[in-house]
Amino acid sequence: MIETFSRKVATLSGAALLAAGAVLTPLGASADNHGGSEMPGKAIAFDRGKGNCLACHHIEGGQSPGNIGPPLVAMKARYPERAKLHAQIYDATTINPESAMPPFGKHYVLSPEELDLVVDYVWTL
Amino acid sequence: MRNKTVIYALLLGLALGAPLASASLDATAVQAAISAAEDARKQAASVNGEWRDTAKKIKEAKKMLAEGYLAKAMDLATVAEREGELGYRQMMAQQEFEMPAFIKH
Amino acid sequence: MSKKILIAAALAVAVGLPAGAMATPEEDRIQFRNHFQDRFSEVPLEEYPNGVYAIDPVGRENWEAIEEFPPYEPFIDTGRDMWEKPFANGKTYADCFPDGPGIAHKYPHWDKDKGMVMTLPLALNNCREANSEEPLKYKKGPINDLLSYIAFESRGEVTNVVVPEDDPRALAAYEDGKKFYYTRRGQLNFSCAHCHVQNGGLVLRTETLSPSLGHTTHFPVYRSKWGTVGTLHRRFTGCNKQVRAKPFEAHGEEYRNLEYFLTYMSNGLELNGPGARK
Ligand code: HEC
Ligand code: HEC
Repeated sequence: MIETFSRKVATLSGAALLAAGAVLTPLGASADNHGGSEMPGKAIAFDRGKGNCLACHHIEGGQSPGNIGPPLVAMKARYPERAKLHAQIYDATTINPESAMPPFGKHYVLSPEELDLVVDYVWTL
Repeated sequence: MRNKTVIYALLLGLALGAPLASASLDATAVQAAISAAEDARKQAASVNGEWRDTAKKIKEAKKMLAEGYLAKAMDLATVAEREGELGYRQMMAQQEFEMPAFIKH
Repeated sequence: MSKKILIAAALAVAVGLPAGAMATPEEDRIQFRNHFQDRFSEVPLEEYPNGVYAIDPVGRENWEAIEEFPPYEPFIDTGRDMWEKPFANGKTYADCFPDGPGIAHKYPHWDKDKGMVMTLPLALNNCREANSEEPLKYKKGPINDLLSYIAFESRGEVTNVVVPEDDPRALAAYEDGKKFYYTRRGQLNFSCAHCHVQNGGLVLRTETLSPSLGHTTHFPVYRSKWGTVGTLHRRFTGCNKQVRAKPFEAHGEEYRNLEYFLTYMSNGLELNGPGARK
């Protein structure tokens, strides 16, 4: 069953990625301009029903943050490789097996496209 | 790494033709997807690993199918099946009980 | 400490069990308690029944003001009436519970005859059914009145859950509850322990997470959010749902065993129900 399932998901996300491709490229490019406020990833990160990162992290500009996780600052210095940052947000338990951070990618709390946007945004923090 | 994924995705998308998924959708295929979702949900439940909204999604998929919204029904069924699979795997990965280190003193 | 490990290891070898399976409920409880007493070294043990207010001074001020005019009081009164009013057959709860109404500290307990953990709400419903009355719903409604009265009458009693050694099924039920507590569930992938053990005292959004120690002493609880009194299993349901896991049946086996384990962890703490919480 797992096999059929992954095949189906691969197909679906392939189609979705293709569709999103046109949108993604210009966004990726704008990730460098530190213009945090306009980035679509920010809205996803702040949305309580989506990323809800503020539940646990202080993020500049975010209201009433929790403190379960560390403040998200100096991300590019701390994560020179975007892939490492992606991995932390995709499934934090691969880095710390006892992490309390939800596996946003692995459990599809965010779609692959949303996750990419959030990583783009967090990388500018 | 990311580039590679994108390339694969592109190739896959091209090979299949992105719109093809919706073009070939018929009620039988959607019904099969809903049944598969229901099986996956039950499998997760059998190990106490069912997620909160999976059953709701299946119910909604059935309703969409009945009303003729095939693409929407297919989406919901696919997500529900994935949730069932993930909930099942989540539990299977924890079959062996381990006391977390954060409480070891 | 190291001596204990040596002994445990020696035992493990002798019995041929893996070392991890060795902890007895009593060892678990001591470890659990020490975890919190290390983490909140300034908080005296007898404060834990006050939940988050043992560690959150701001919340505590509000709570103390609320406790001046306890919102659960009317529920206690209604519950007293329920306790005293005879069933249609003329009998009362007191016929089922001759030691009542102050009996909360006797639950949950291992029921050897039935081979299961008996919880107070389940015992109350068994009594009703034995007297041809409809069972009460387990999460909301009148059961909370009855439980409020019983909790009030049990104040000052001490949590004292026993896992009898003469029935291996009791230990199995305890272990099952323990495993439940430490197992990640739901799309958000939390175990109970992630919030209430690993991160007790930290803030999730605007909510300070209460330590698990003392979690069972004050139920049923009046929650401002609910606007009424609710049961422990209603709370379990809410905590499962917020991590996007499907909750389990109230007083079904999973939650009964969970209550058995969780209450055992608070052995030695005074009962102080009904409580009031945000
Ligand atoms: C339930 C709490 C929780 C939520 C919600 C959460 N995190 Fe975390 N996060 C943590 C914890 C705890 C850590 C510490 C490392 C670990 O245990 O994984 C962490 C670590 C991180 C790190 C690494 C920080 C560093 O300094 O190395 C990043 C980046 C991060 N989180 C991003 C996010 C993003 C983006 C979101 C929202 C999509 C999010 N987190 C939501 C709990 C959370
Ligand atoms: C995502 C975090 C989270 C998880 C996981 C979680 N809880 Fe909670 N729980 C809370 C919050 C927030 C509250 C309300 C504030 C407080 O008292 O901690 C709460 C309250 C409670 C209370 C009431 C405490 C009181 O003093 O009245 C109990 C009992 C409880 N949780 C048990 C559990 C159990 C059992 C589990 C596992 C099934 C669990 N929780 C999982 C966040 C969580």
